[in-house]
Amino acid sequence: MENWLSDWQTDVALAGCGSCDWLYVLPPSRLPECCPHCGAAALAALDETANKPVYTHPPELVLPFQVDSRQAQQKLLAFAKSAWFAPADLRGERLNGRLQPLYLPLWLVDADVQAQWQAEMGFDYQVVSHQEEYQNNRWHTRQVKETRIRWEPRVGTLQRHYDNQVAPALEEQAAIEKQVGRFDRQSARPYQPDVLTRAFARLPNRPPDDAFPDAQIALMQAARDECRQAAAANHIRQYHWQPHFTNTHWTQLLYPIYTTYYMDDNGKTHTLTIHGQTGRLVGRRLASMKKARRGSLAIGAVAAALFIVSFILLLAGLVYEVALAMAGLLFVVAVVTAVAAFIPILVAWYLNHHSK
Amino acid sequence: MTPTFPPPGYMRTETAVPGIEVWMPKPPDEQYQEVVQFHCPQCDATTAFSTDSGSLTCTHCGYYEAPQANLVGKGAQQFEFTIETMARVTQGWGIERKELACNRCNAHVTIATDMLTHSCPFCHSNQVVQVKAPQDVLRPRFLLPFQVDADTLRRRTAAWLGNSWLLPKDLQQLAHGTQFTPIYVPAWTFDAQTSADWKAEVAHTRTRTVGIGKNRRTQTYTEWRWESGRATLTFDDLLINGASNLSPVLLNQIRHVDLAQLVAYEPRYLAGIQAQAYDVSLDAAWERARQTMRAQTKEACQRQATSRHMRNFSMNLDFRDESWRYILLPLYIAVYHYNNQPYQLLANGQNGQITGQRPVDWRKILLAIGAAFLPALLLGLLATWLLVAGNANGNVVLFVTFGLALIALIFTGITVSQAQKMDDV
Repeated sequence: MENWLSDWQTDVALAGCGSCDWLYVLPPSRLPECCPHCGAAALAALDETANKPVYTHPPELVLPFQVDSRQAQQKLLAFAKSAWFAPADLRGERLNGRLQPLYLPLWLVDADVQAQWQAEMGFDYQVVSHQEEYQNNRWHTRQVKETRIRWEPRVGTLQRHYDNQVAPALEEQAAIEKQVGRFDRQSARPYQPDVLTRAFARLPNRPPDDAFPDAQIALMQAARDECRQAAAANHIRQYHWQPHFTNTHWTQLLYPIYTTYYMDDNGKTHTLTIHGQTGRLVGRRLASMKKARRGSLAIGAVAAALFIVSFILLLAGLVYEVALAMAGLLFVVAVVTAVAAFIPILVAWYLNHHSK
Repeated sequence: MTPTFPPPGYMRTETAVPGIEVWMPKPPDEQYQEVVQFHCPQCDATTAFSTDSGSLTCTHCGYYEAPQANLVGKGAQQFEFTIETMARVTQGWGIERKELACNRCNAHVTIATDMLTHSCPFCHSNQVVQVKAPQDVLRPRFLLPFQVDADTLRRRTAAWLGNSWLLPKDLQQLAHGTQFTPIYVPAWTFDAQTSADWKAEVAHTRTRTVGIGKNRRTQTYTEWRWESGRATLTFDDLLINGASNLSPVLLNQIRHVDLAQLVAYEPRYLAGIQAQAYDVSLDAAWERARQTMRAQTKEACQRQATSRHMRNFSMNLDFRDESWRYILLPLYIAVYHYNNQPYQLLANGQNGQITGQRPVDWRKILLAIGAAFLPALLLGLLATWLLVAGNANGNVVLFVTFGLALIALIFTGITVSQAQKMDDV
């Protein structure tokens, strides 16, 4: 199928970033110069036939944006405003100008599972223990209850159907989820072509065959939890199974994020991501060492001037005694100012090493 | 995964999720019989456990059946103080009595629930009562088999009855006719770890120089300094007696048993032997064990202080990894008569250690005390005569007299205390 983009039922084009290799399906009129993921000016329209991605089908489900672009922009403005010694590029209006709604893909797997399993089931039970206190030649006894776990082996068979078990559609899925957080899949809606009017859609780089081992892990987690419930146990460990999967069905779900980026003093791009459901903003808030150095130098210059004036007053003190006191006072102020000159550099260094 | 499904020894159990089946290990297959009766498969006479041969023996035809000894030693299963166990403990044995119908002669008898064995008074068949739920967890699961036979004990008893000059000479002969009755007595063993944080004001003796000039002198005073520490003790198989009707003093003297010889409970061991169930409940025994443990932990804490002279001592003690076992200990009980007076003997059925009452020959003791004081008395008379006669040697003799009297007093004290120990247990 050469014109696979037509399956998306709307006028979309394929674009790819030469720097980070991300592939997007996007409205052709909205092709930007820079990649919304890495900020590199390497985004270019690609020929859909010559550069056919590993998976080209449109999604079945979409999680709609619950945070609109205005709310996202306000978050970015606040983010930029609260930055100390912000780099020149870290400005609210620039971040907002680069703000791009983006859909990322995720697999939902349905399957019938037949399996044999074995595990150790943990059952909570309580024991009576004692704590005793000796004071004023008398013992005071206190009975305490402790909860312990009794582990027992169990084996069994399983014949169950599991729906919507999550498997990654992107290599970077784990990192993205760790950074942005999870998404509430309850609000998923069937795919409508108009969702790509403004937003880009990232194409999966892990097709179902490749993601199946991860899907099995998700299915095993679900089965493991159900086996624990079946045995009426409180805990489970050492779960092993021999599964057989039938009627496997894969659904591509798009989940929403906003991306933008800024460049630091060295021109390196830093991406900011906003969770499309919760509005949670993640990304490094770096301080500009250049700005901090300038601030330190300015304060240092003031300190130097104060030193000079105090020295002059010291000389004048040889003639006018009253100038000696002023010289001493100014010297102390100069020393405090000199120490304060280190603060901008230290603050910027601290922020850059502790920013998340 | 197991190659065969379900694995052998597993049984299907309830499931809370449709579509998932669950198998669990079958509980140990204990063929429960409320009463186990013992009779010879050859001649149908009564069989009983013989402490001589360590086997189930028919005294009529000589049939011999060795019990399958399942040595578990100190690795014998220990139980935790679960809420369920402690709740059952509080129910106790009550005053209920159990009605038994003898399978051989069909006689109906009632026995107290704290007796684990019974011999039918009509046909003398031996029966072992098996305790089951709700006190299931509190039934004996391990025991120490008898390892010393009655003949050996008689020889040891003869030696024991003749090992002191305080005893009558003819006492040793009584040992040969003494009947030793084997009985299993209940006992609890407890394991625990105690850890205690303590603090106290500890006394340190210091000296200082006070005064000036001629009044300058050294003064000793006590300096109180706060000290603190932490002591951790591990208790392994602390033994507490489970029967209240046996003299704790006597039992203490023969309590040293080797728990490495523990075997799993098997009714055959009890055939024809009296066996008593506990009447000191688990919580009462545990309370006693805790008293011992906390006393020893307190002692360990106080030993850590730089001086034993202390005040305001306080400690917080935590018990951890507490566990218990209910076991049966082998004991021989014997009664012999001397001068128409009964005297009780107890012997450890595992190592043959003997304790009990021994009649003391008080006439012999009085003669010995008289003989001890005689030299002092004679020398005292001599010293008086010399002093009255104005002889200067009288003082020396008087001094020697006092010395001899003192020695005689010490001898009297030791002898009487030893005699009382033998007589009064």
